[in-house]
Amino acid sequence: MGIIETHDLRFVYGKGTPFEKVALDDVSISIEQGEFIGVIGHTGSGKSTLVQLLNGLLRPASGEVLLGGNDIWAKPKKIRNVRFEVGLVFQYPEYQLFEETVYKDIAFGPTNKGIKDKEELDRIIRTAAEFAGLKESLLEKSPFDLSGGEKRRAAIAGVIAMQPKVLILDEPTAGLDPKGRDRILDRIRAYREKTGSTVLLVSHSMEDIARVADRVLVMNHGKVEMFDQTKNIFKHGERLAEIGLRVPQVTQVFLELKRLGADVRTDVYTMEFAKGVAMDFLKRTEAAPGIPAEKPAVSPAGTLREEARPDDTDATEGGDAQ
Amino acid sequence: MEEKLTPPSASSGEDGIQQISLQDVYFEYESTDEAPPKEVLHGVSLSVRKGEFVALLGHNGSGKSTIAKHMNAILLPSGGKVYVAGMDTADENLLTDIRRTVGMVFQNPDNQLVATIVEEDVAFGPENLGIPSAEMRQLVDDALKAVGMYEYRRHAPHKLSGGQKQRVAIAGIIAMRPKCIVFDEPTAMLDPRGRQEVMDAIDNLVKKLGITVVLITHYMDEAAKADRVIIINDGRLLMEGKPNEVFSHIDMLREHHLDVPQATELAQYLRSEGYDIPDDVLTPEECARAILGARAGSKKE
Repeated sequence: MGIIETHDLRFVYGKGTPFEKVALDDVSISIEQGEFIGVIGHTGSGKSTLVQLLNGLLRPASGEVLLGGNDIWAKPKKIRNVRFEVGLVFQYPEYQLFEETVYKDIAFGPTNKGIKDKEELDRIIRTAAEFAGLKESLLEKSPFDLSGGEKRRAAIAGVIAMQPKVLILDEPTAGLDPKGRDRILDRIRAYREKTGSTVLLVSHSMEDIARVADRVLVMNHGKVEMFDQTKNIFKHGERLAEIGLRVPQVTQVFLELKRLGADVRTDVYTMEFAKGVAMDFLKRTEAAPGIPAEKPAVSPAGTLREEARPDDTDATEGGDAQ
Repeated sequence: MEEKLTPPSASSGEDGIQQISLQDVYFEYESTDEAPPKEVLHGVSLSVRKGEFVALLGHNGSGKSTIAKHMNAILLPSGGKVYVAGMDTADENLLTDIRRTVGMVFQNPDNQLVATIVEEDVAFGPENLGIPSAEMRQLVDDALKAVGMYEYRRHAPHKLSGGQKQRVAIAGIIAMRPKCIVFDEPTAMLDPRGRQEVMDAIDNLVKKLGITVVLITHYMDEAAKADRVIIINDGRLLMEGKPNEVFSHIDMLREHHLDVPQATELAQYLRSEGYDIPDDVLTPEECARAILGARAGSKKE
């Protein structure tokens, strides 16, 4: 049994109005305790609707969401508790900071959850701040005096402080520079390793997803398009492009090599792995006879070594590999 | 590291007409009750030539957006001068002309759309410039075609995707016929398809309409498309040059918390391992060809 499961989940916006739109249909997924799940899909694919259904902000039209095996809507009056257990960090969460100090802002969630003991609360707040990579000295500052990246991390700390079993982050790195992005991804990864929490990361950055996710959920037009291990997802470059997504740039290199007729694996999606695969490929064929660099795919087959056989039917010149 | 590929002086405008020129620009935010004045630009000199596509990179807080806001007189320098097509931005009488010369597109398209129909939104800017309605029709249609949104001219902007909204915002700027457009992270809020649509539109502005483009971005693959990349760090110019020149300095970029395109990083790594890989790889296609080329050649010593 997964920590969180959905069965035939369906959601309709504007039901009964002329603007009725099925935002989510037939979604059945199961996520295990401690997994790191990447969620991708074009704008309007249903990913934000899905994460809001997972923490009970939206109620399904039909189907169910199970948390630890229990239907979260079994007792609608208790739905608030689900929001403590499935913590959701919205897009641009820094706009939701509102307290006088960062400390008070982080305290908001756990206080509402019912933690009254001052010392325990203090410990929770400081631990959450540390997980989010916020310096102690920032806690007494006004949230409005923080930098963009710090604000974002303060908002994440506020959700972590509720000690959720499942942490969902909707585009946590949008608009940040590479440094701010790396810091947030590193903190999330460390948090998950230390606490064993389940994490869902929604992102438009395939490179980010490739770096952190065990499995990737691909949404398209309100339905599950793919849900598989990361390496299996990024093999499907063409299909991902069709549905408005792409593969990491480093994966594109290997897809292009394949298209040009090279016998090379394409389930390559991180830089470190890519370096190894490229080195292997070069070593393996180092002694190969000369092939013109400009148009390798049209070289006579006889000049290619066995492992570089150009027998892929789709490896024709002028193919469309974005 | 203080290395500079070319001296960051205004002299780089010699081989073309300067559209925008910053000369030793200083800028400080005024003091408030809580904070003392803060200097964020410490003597920036740079120029953008007519028809050029320049990418401005730097981490958050580096001063790149502050520089962009000097390019159409949203901000005025505390020291030094900014000229737009020869006009001093500090001269209030020239403000309207300066804003007509340099348009700006921001991150969030939702904050830039005002009307309920796409074509009305695009017409908003030229209307305010007092352009007669006979010309207006043509201006609006041309602008929408330039960004590939003509078929959507009667749609409601709020129902469009992020990439479509951003292209409508761009059309609204184009309709005012600026010579230059400054984009401040126009794709930061978009999904991959939206990013591609906006980058294609920008490409079209440069190549087909001859509009000068300054693009501020965190995405290195976008910067790789520019004619020239300028890196800003701590309110100063750190480096400038062609994308392949700048991106070959991987260590320095890393030190300043910037990325390089993954294709460039992979190519540079293989090169450092002794393979015969060119040093100007920017795209996945170039990287794949370089690897095949290197495999054909022998290992360098």
